[in-house]
Amino acid sequence: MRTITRRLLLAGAGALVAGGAGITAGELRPISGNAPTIPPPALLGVLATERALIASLQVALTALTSATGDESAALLTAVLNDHVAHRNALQALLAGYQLPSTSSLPASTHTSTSTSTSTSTRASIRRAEQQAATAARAASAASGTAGAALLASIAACEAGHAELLA
Amino acid sequence: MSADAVLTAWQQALATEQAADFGYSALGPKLADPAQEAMARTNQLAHQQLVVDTSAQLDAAGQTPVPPEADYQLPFPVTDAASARQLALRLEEASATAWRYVVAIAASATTSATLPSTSISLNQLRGLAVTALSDSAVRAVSWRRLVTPANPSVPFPGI
Repeated sequence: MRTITRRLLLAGAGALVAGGAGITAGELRPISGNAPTIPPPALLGVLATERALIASLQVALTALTSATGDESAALLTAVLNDHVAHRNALQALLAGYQLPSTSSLPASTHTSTSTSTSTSTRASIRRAEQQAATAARAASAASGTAGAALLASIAACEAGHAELLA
Repeated sequence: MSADAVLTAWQQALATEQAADFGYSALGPKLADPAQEAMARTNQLAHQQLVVDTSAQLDAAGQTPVPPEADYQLPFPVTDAASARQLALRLEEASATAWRYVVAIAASATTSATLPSTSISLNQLRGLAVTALSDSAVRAVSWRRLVTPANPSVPFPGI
């Protein structure tokens, strides 16, 4: 009788390969002297989207009042924290590249919009999460070793956000 | 990374799905809330379908799909609704981990690592694994918001 131990349940984990958020930037940084200067466009696009989502969530949180309750604020804060983690992981992955100036970064899949009600804000953010998840999945498919698994996890997280905001 | 490593990861994902199917059979009767019972049934069906699909794909790749175990010992006693929800979350997190590993291994496969001609391609496998990872993460969120309402999500499902 096999035990559904954590080991079996996590049997697929194996050794984390490059692309996991737990890998340090040093392990992912291209070898000095042969470092490619052009960062993967797929990673840049997702990074731009993460930055835009962070900005939108910060605006939404600022707009929340005590009348809308603490539950919305707690949820949006949790979502925001995830995106900050995404941004940090992507920046670490791109640390070995020469990043283009902010003005020449690929366009984000999300544009910040100001909305007047908590309900419409939540719906707007949900749509943004769905779009971000789709884009991250596509980016994962286009990525090589270093980015594929990280982008897949980011896409999965954003799909989860959409579920929470439904 | 060789084709053998990809096939091994794929088989491990199948084993994880089989364990999830069994786990849901054990936890379902302990759920008192009808909505949670329905969610557990839906989730179990999803894992069962993944078992069917993954087994067929491995078979097409010339592999013998790992068979399910006759019985499994649960990681902790499931005695009430709370422990049932905790097990459900654990099952989904394990599924996410297994499929994320498939993504990572398939992405690491060298250009010389090819799956049998009768199999789906490495890129197709990556796509399926990304979908399975996302689906598990969404199901996990639904359980996690019940188990730990203050922390309903994790930033990197599968890790």
